[in-house]
Amino acid sequence: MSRYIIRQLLWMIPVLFVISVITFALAHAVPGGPFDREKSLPPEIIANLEKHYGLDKPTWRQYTDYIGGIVTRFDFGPVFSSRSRRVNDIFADHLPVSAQLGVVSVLIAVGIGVPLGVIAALKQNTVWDYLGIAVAVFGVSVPNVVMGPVLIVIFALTLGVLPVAGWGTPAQMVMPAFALGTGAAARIARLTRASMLQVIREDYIRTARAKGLSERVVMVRHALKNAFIPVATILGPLFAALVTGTFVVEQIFAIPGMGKYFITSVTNRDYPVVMGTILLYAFFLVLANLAVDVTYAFLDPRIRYT
Amino acid sequence: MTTGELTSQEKAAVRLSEREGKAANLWRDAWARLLRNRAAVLGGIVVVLLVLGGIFASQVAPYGYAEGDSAEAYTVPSWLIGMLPGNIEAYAKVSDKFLFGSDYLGRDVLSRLIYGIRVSLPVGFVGAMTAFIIGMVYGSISGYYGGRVDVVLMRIVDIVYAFPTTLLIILMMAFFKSSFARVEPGTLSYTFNQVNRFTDRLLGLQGGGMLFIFMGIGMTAWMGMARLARGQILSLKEKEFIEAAHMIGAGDMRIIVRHILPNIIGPCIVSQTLNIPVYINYEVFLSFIGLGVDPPTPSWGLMIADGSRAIRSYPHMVLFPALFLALTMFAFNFLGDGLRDALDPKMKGTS
Repeated sequence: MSRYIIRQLLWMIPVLFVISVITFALAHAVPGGPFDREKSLPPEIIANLEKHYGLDKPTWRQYTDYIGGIVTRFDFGPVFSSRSRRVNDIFADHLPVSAQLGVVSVLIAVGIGVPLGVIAALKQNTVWDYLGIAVAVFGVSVPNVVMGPVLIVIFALTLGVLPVAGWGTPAQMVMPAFALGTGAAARIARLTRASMLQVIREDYIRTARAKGLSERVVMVRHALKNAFIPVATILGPLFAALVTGTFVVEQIFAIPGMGKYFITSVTNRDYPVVMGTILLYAFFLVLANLAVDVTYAFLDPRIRYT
Repeated sequence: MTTGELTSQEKAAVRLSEREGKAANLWRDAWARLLRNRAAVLGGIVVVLLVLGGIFASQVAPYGYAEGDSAEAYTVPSWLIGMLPGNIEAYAKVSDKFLFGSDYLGRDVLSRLIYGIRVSLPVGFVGAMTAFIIGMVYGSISGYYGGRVDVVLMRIVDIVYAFPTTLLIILMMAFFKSSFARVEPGTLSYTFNQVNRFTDRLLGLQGGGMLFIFMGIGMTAWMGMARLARGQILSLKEKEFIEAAHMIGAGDMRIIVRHILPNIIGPCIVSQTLNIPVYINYEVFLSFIGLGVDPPTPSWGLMIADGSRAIRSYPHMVLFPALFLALTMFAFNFLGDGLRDALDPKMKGTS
């Protein structure tokens, strides 16, 4: 097991390398430069700026300089749109915010989605099942761009129980976390229900019942553990996406997270920020998928890694 | 045939007898099953209403989508003002000229919502069609020929899949918007601009840049479809009837088109129908971040973005587009679920 984990962690290096090459190429393929303004700057100033940031060098040289900076100094480069900040500062200031919000919303998604799916499956074709399906369809149909404003109007403006927006107190985290979590909860509920329905028809469940185990033990120890495997699969990408920030919800609730840098960096051609955010996302994605792989082995003893 | 007191078995028997002489037909059976699903029928009705509203927008909408008087900005209709929270009576202009009020430039919200259908629905349909066609061809080739072709084609999909879809779309939109901005005749970007203008006019919009949104969504949406089609073909191509087709000397093209495609087309259509709301959501997202349609073309995403900026003072500005979007999503999801149950009853309840 530990050998498997180490091997997967080593695999991360070529994966991140390929992703960085592609992102670098794509970002530089978009026409325009970081210093294009509505009122264009004098060419001498642009030339100076480009020299300062090394943009006058050939593209392959810019890439090797960039990777060299990360490997030798753990420096993800400058931010073109702000002279005093570097990409590392963006990570330090905004990643904790997004990560906090992301972790809470993943917990909400699992906390609502899994029980809902299990209840719907165990009481198939009853009111509970239909209720579960209805909630799931609702969650899938209402995107967070709708959920956010509607929550604000109901809970902040009408009832006045939660602050409208902002960041810092636990109360300010409730609505954005729910806006992010409900869509994911709906997907998890659907998946849990479907896989639970499949698992409880398996032979080993009948065996477990036949040897006299209580229904509770059969469901929790035997059925749910196996039914959770497809759910764990989607948790990896979900976790990576939520933890690295989501633009829409952060924008609506005025949260100083990472989300906006994914978008402004591309529109501003802020190459180091584009690279930094994507590498960060890919890093979390690979890590989360590794965690999912390890969870498989824990959930299903038939799965072994060597 | 009057079916009042018939049991369900008798009804099934009647249906069978009505089909007498005709071969079992996937599409006719599916249609009958779809009509029995109330949620799907309701979703279908909403979709048809939206399509009609979009086609006849200039007849239905009380005002144009770009005309507005800033003296009439942020008006609230009198039927709504009691329902809104806060002391909005204290500062809002009340006017019954606009049923859903007016936006920050004094444009009619209802009219913009109706014209917005011309953006959202085409994006959903064209996105699904593009993904369907590219994904089917790509996945069929990969699955049918297998071996090295399969490995190479699927590795490409895996690599592109590793990127967040939103980033790919953002990069692509930024690319389109800046490289096709030039308008000198004779260049490639000029041709693209002409096609773009033609697309917009076809959709009844005066500009908006819909072609680029179609391209952005189409180029990122096909990968899931390709994987699905490939998986389906892999499980089919070892079956006896395909072997039989090989035996009688049928060519690859004939086997794919005549024998394989009819067997995999059901799940593929279902998966794309269920994806229509996803594509609509992409456009909403793009317009929300300012990389979607060009103003003043109305898009629900743009309206939600504008409205959420004024949410404290004028909450109704964001609520109507949000509710419209949610209603559309519900309709397509119900219809998609119904279609899935109808086309493949075995898949019922899974997703």
